[in-house]
Amino acid sequence: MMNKICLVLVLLGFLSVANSSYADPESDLEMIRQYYQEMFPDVAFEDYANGVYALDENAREQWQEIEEFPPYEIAVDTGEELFSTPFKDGKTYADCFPDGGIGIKQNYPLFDAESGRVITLELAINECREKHGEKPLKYGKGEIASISAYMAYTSRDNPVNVIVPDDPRAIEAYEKGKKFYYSRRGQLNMACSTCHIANPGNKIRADILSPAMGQTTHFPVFRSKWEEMGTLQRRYAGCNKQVRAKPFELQGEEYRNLEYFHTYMSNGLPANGPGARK
Amino acid sequence: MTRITSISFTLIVGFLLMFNVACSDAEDSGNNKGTIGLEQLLDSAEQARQKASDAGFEWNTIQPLLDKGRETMEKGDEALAHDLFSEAKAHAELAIAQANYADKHWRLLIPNSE
Repeated sequence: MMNKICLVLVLLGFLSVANSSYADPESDLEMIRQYYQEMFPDVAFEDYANGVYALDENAREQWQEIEEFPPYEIAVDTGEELFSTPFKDGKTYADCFPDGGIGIKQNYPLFDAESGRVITLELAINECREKHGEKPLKYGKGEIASISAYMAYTSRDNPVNVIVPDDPRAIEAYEKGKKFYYSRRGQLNMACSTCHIANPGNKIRADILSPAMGQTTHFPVFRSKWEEMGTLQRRYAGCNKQVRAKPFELQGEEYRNLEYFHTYMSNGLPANGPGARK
Repeated sequence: MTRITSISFTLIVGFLLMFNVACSDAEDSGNNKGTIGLEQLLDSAEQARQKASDAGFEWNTIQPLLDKGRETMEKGDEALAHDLFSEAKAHAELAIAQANYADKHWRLLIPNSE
């Protein structure tokens, strides 16, 4: 009898430890919203979609002036043309996506139960090309960023709606992305969270750090530093280099899982890509 | 007398030759030892880099140090190559330690974590 009681107590102890170290995605989302609300009580939830411009009035004014002649406009036009141009087999991108690919960006990344992988919009674009006998595009910038920009433009104002289904593989992918976000790496020993969870609103050199929530809504972006369009994963690689870590392959498992977790943190915010950033 | 002088001369020359060979042997042996030591250091640094990479925590400082070390070794500056390989290895070992730490403690960076 005593042995059974001991066993039950040990099991209960184990379960409580396991429970304290794991939070489901919904709890993560609730926690992160509450965390930022306490950190920036004057910032409205929807305004987080504007990234750092939700936090700094001067930077916001400069950004709004840039938005009067948006530098991503050419990419949107180019993207529309590429999107509508038939492949060699006569099909177009519209044949690969639900709703003809219009107004769907807010649902990406998504978990594909058939392949057991996280699928980002850019990966889906290239898989569509390959399915129809075309060569995949180079990730990060160029045509893929333009097509993604056009698809993002057609999705503006739709609330971000990334779903983590009740599938252990999806939860594992989400957890891997979360672990990546909170792990220190590189010679500077910094995690994504060091800047964007612990220090949003503070300066790093001359730049103000943006909060994690809302960072993904406006991608792809025209970044002044790049003088061209770039995808979210291009930015990930840049961040990794900045902390002196070796970046991962674009659209490899690491960055796809990271994008899955990262975008889930913006659920409910309006999609507002493409954007313009410094 | 001439015979004694000739024997002495032969002995002296022989001694000098032996001394010279011994010295050059020692020198060659030292060089080989240095190159072998450097190659071993390079191997261990490369192995540590691979381990950091497998863990997903490779620093972008490591490969340039290894590349520069190889280039320096080829030019014959073994002392500098040794320093570069040693630094690369140290960075790789720190990256491995970082990976191990992250694996155990990454949740500590989550807000409100205990």
